[in-house]
Amino acid sequence: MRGTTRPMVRGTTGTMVRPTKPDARATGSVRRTGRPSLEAAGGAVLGIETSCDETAAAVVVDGVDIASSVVSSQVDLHTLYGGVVPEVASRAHLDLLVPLVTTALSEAEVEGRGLSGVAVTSGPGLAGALMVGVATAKALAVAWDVPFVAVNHLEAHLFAAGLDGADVPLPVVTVLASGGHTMLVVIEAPGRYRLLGQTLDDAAGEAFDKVARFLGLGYPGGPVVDRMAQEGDPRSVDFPRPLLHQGWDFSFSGLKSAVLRYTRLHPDAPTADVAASFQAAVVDVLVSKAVRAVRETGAAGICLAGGVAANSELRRRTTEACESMGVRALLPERAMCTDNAAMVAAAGWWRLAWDGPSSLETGAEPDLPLLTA
Amino acid sequence: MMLLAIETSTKAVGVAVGGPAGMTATIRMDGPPRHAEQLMPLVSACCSYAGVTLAALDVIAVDTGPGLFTGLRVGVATAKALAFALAKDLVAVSSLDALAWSMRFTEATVAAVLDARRGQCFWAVYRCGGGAVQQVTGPAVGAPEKVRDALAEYGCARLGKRGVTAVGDGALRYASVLSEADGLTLGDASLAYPPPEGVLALGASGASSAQLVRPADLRAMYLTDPDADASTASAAVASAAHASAESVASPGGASEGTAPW
Ligand SMILES: [Zn+2]
Repeated sequence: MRGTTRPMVRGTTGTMVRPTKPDARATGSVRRTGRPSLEAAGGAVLGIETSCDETAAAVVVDGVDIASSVVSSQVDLHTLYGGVVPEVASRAHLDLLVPLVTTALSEAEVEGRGLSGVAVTSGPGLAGALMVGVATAKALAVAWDVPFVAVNHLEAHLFAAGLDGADVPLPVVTVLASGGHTMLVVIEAPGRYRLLGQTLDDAAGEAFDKVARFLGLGYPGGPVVDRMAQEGDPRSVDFPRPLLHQGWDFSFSGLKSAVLRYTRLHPDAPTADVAASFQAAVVDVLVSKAVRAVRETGAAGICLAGGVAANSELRRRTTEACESMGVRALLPERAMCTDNAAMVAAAGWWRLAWDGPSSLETGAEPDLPLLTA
Repeated sequence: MMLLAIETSTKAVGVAVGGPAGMTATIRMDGPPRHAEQLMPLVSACCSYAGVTLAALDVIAVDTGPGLFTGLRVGVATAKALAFALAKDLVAVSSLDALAWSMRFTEATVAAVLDARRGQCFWAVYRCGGGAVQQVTGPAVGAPEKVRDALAEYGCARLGKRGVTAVGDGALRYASVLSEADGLTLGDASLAYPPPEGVLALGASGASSAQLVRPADLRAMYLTDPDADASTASAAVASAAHASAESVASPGGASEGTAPW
């Protein structure tokens, strides 16, 4: 994460320089000193991501510069089932990963042996899917004789905003919302996070998927509801805003049930209106908690992460809210919000710098939390 | 020619290093399955015991199944990645062939039967003798009763008193069902899993007969569709949707005890 003292993995003499520890105090903005050349950098990390239904590989230099990032979405495969089938996902990861790694390395014009590390998501996620990535990453690292580093997928999402030269002011409130989780996190300094709240039941993206199914809009729900909502009136149905003013946690299960009930009672209600009203309720909850978090923590901005961050209404409302508070809105490119390997490589570069390589006995950690005590 | 053999299609995790003339080193762990954690350290250890660097390997032989999906994929993913990173070729070995290979000097008909969980077996029948094994039927997946009926046919109708020997953890688990076939002999626990040495030996002969595969082209042999059981698939969708990428309570984990995934 830039905007603070950036750790240096290599000094000018090529020796390893111990970077700032994660709890180092934020020291304001640091100017970028031009894109490091790949040959000279030695700071190129290969990232691998297979935690759910995206197979991805990327090369990121010095934790920020994306040299390549390739993602093979399995959405088409899983659309047949209306959701992610773990066994289907695992099989696809196994077949797709080596070709994707080949592409990522060749697009970045870097040799495996020239990498300064191989990073992989070890959790949280689907156990069988994670194992394909972890086994692959360990074997590549050992074969190339470069460091192996296991990365927390949730932490990786928090690094997406700082990729490719974006300047991230700290502290920043991050809304991390996807099909698997909904979290409100304050990034106080690089590597130092405070988890304010998370979902008590369904994740925001999961609510989108389920509502899309009720409305007969198909899978995945996020993009279809977003598209449909643009033609609807968000005020037509007053859906509940669960826990809007209470605490930091989220709950979307009641909202989902309210939409189901409403569509049963009003089968003729225009789908676009229901979709728009549902989306407005989710966005209201996410944005108002983030705004409250900015006020209470004195954060310098709101950052969106996770697949739901691609939602156009969430992006619009976040921008609006930040403008009115005079803080920064950090809306990473959609491709960096959804699962990708560039964020894994970035997180891996920092984790290597902070903690050094991970054990080669690392396995899949399906329930890995963001913060470990 | 120096080979590394990787074997992860059952609860066991095994590695062997050697050449066509024989094995130099092998390690096998039969404990609770921890393939993802153990395999790569075992590969490094086995190579170092054999006095061989990874770079000095010529070919990587890997058991591509059929077998328990999660472990199988750890082995196949590791083999693919090693072969890609080291620019080596791969050779695929069947788990059932490797299992039957243990019986290559018995003049017998051998049923290789691996536990596929959920009441199913992966199985194939071999004619063994003179140091070689020849598959005569399979590989297939099916209930133990089906295996029993097929074995009964081999044991009685074709072989008279010479009978059939059944080996593998599936044969042990379903011993009482399979024993209903006349003339059946059961192998013991030492024949429960495909030996890494068998993967090495079969890999060496595959490599010498040019059955080499590029890393991108290597496929695991599953024998069943990923959605073979509709109710399992939809239950998995439900739990995956709840968990998706991040919170997942390992849908694989929940059924780990019973299903091959
Ligand atoms: Zn994610």
